[in-house]
Amino acid sequence: MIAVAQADLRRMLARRGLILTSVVVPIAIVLILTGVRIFLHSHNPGAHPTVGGETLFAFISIIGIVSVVFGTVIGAMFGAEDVTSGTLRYILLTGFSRLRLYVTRIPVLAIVAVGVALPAFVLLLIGALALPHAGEPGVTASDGGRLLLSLVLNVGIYALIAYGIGVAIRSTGGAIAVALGLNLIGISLFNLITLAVPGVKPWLLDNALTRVTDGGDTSIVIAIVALIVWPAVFLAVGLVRALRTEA
Amino acid sequence: MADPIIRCQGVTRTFGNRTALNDVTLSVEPGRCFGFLGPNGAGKTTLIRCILGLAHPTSGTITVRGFDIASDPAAALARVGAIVEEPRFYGYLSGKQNLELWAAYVGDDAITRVPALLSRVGLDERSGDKVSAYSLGMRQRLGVARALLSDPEVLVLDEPTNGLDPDGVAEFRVLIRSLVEQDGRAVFVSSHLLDEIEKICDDLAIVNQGRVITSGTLADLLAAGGRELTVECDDATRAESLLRTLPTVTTVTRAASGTLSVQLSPDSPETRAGVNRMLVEAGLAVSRLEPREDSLEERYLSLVHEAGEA
Repeated sequence: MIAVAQADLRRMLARRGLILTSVVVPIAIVLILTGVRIFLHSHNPGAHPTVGGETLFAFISIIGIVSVVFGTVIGAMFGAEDVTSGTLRYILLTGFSRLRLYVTRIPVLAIVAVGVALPAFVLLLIGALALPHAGEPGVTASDGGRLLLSLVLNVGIYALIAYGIGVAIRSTGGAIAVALGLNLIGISLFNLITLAVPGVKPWLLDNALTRVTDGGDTSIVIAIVALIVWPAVFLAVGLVRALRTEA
Repeated sequence: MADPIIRCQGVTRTFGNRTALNDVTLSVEPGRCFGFLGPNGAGKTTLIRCILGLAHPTSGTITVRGFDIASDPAAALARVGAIVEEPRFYGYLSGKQNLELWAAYVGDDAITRVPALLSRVGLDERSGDKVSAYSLGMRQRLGVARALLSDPEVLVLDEPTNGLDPDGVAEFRVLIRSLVEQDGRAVFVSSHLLDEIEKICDDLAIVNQGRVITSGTLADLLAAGGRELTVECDDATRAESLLRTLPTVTTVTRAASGTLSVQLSPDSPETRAGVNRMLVEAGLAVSRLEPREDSLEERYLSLVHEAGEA
């Protein structure tokens, strides 16, 4: 299985257009934001005394949103590609089982989806530490660790959800739409539900993500369980389809 | 005779009210090229998908290499290579990268066979190019290389020459025959191209509307189609009368030139020499006596039309 995982990892990385875009766009955003802050600081240091520090690092939320989108696209594509391209039957003809194929790809996807988000994070962190941040506390190891965990969890979980959806509906575009819809629109819908049923709130994915990375007064255990259950449900739906689909 | 490498017994597959395969029974022997011939929509791809475990028969059993494909697909497919409908690859990978990826799925030492297989199918010089830049013929050859990764005992090829130009067809034909004659592999090839089947296959089955209407060796099938003799002699009228007295002669027709066409019944024991002896003993001078067997096209059309009328 390790040889297959390595081969699949090489295959994913060979999609140079998608991978480079997923790496370069967040980096470009970091560079643009940093450039704007340097420009403002150089023209009016009094009004803009800081460039780096927490002020710059706060832009991690934008990097997070962009990386989740790319993670979703990668996950959906990874899930649906073999059916849409007609390669699934040739993999199955090697005798490699559907279950092993499905399971082997989960860690590969997580590595790629999170991996493409990390360069922008590292660049932002370096910028926050290296650039002047007079009058403002620097970024602490605790901040860096907390936000790295947030990025990894957000990107990884939404990529896995998109993977399950991609396998289940066997359409890359459809899977991207559904997974992004869940991320962007679903949150609002679920928040409406919590108005009627407040007890559901700790189980919502975004609330659980916030609880685990930023703290809060709800149960940490429920939050951790929710972070496991959400991708597990979508992965299970994908697995059922993967086992039954005619290649 | 060795055990069949593929055996289909009473295989039926239905889709709703439509019967795609109807009680199909056939055997593919090791080291032989078996043609599965039929018109478009006859059920050829459906049977191939069932043989490979990609679809499941509604009833009947299929064994591959002695293993039931339904209950033990991994063992059945362990040394089977296939191209179904058309070879599909990851277009953004090179031919070599694609084969290396599939070698990982096959396992064992398949990765070590990649360079030799690329060379065998004539793609070693283009192995670094992305598959998206390959022609259909190159993808077909790469498909064969992939099918050979597991060092298969049998290859199953679905319409492998579809869309190839004449050069590509000729190259493919040589490749298939080398797999049979040099490697001793069995090849199961489906096609609606009569000429193709006639040139590469040792055995064949003809399928129409999901039902096998005949199967056997190519030579037997052609021989069973009735035999015709062309006869020229010094007295065509008398020869015609004499030949009509033979119970094994079904028809005698005379052209304006005096040439006789004599149709012998398929199970006739009458030989060319026997006909010649009868005419000579009757005092006729025979100047031409030439046998003519049905072509595969004639046999195919005859059988398919008979099946259609039935």
